[in-house]
Amino acid sequence: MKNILYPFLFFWVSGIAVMAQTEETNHIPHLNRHYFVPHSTASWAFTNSHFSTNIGVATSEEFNKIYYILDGEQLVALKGEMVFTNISFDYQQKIKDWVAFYVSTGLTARVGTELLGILSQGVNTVTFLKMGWLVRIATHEKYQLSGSLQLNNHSATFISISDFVTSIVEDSLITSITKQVPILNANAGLRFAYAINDLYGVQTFAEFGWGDSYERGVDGPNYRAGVIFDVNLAARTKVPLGIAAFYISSSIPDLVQVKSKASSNTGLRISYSGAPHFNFGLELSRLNVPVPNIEEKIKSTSMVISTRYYFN
Amino acid sequence: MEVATVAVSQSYIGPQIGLVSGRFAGDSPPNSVYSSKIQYTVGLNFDLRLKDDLFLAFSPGYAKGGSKLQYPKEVDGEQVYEDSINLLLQVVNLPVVIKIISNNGKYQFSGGFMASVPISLSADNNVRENDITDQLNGAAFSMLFGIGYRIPIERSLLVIDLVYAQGLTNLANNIENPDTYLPRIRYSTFSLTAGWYLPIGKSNDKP
Repeated sequence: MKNILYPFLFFWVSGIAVMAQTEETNHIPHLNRHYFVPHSTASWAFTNSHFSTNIGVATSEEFNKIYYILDGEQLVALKGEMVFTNISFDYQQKIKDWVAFYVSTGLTARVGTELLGILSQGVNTVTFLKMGWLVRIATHEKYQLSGSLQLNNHSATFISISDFVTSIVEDSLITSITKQVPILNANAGLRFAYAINDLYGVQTFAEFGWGDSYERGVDGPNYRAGVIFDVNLAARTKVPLGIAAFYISSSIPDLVQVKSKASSNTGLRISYSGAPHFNFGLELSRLNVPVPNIEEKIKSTSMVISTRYYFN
Repeated sequence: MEVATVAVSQSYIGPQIGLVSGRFAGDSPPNSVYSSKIQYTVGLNFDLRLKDDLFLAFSPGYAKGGSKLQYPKEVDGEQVYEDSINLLLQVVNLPVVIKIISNNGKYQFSGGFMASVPISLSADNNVRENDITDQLNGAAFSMLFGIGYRIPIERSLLVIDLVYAQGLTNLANNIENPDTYLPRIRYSTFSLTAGWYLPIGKSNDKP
């Protein structure tokens, strides 16, 4: 019986917490009495100080590739799957109301499973350190516009069986089965938040940059853009939840390891929005990621658990 | 006219000196890894006040830095990386940064860019030293992030500054080495400097 009562007790206490909040005590960024729902990877227009942790996992749908012999006759059809994992820590420090410094570090791993996944994708890890400046450009009762300048430093390690075998067969060359690639990119962007009313808000961002790709000797442009539409139920009900729908597209070479292609991430986030300093959320999404050696983008289902603590 | 007087009187000029921990990052020769090397930097600092809490700073200086190359050695049956080659880099640095002063006036946060013109790069393995300046790909550019502590001393300031410089440009001279393997090497530094900032012009009410 106690177990059944716990969820009701949680929402009741949370409801009181929501009612007790005022704009002065609540550190969650807000405009027009709307408290915005954050996202684990979307760029944020507000210069407040906060610390975030994000842990995610994604599993792909099965993908196939048909291998042909020279005269075009089908040789063999293989199938594969992939698993993605991600962990990241973000910190943003407000220096003045109009400027903040931020840093983000973490690890993304991509593991091929099934025969084709293991052969074509292997095991890849990417560690990253991102840092940048966020400057408020314009603010109004209903909107805020900010600009960012960011540096992305990635270090990728690949264990690729197919590349190893190819170098032996085609080049008669025994090379290391592991390969490391350092990647550096810089980008600048605009971030915009708009509060329609206390219930609904929209956030959007667009970043454009230049830098290394996974292919040595090839530099080029990249971009990252997205939009988030959120509803903060706590504004008009006693339910301390925020719900956000999001779409993010990116060609930045972290998850995307194919030049001139972009990934997309479409999904929903459900957040606990009852605390004045804290946000806890679960993101469920569909990821479309281009990967090397496979023509079509890999479709995956992703789940991310994200927490954010606000200082001021 | 009054604005110009205030702006000049509240700007600073002064020497700065400090330690630099530099490190090459990225592709290293086979079986080796880079490690950091601590050297020094000296220079001048010009802080031009743009607003009460905002400065544009230009700090030309000389820096002796570099990195170490470590190779593995067997020690008690275990593979241990030991310093084997010293890479000594001498550069003239030309940083331009924006400095933001905290509300209490004690801290400064800086961000900007730096051009580094190399004077020389040598490799020293304790037996002989080779000049390998031609392996460098010309001038390098870095992005800077810094935090400093400002201590007022009468009208002047003593500023302790910690700055991270992340190299943006590839230092490897891939034109001279048109191999199929194109290395990516960048140079990053942490510098801890002490600067004595003297006010320019008339009395300065707001250090």
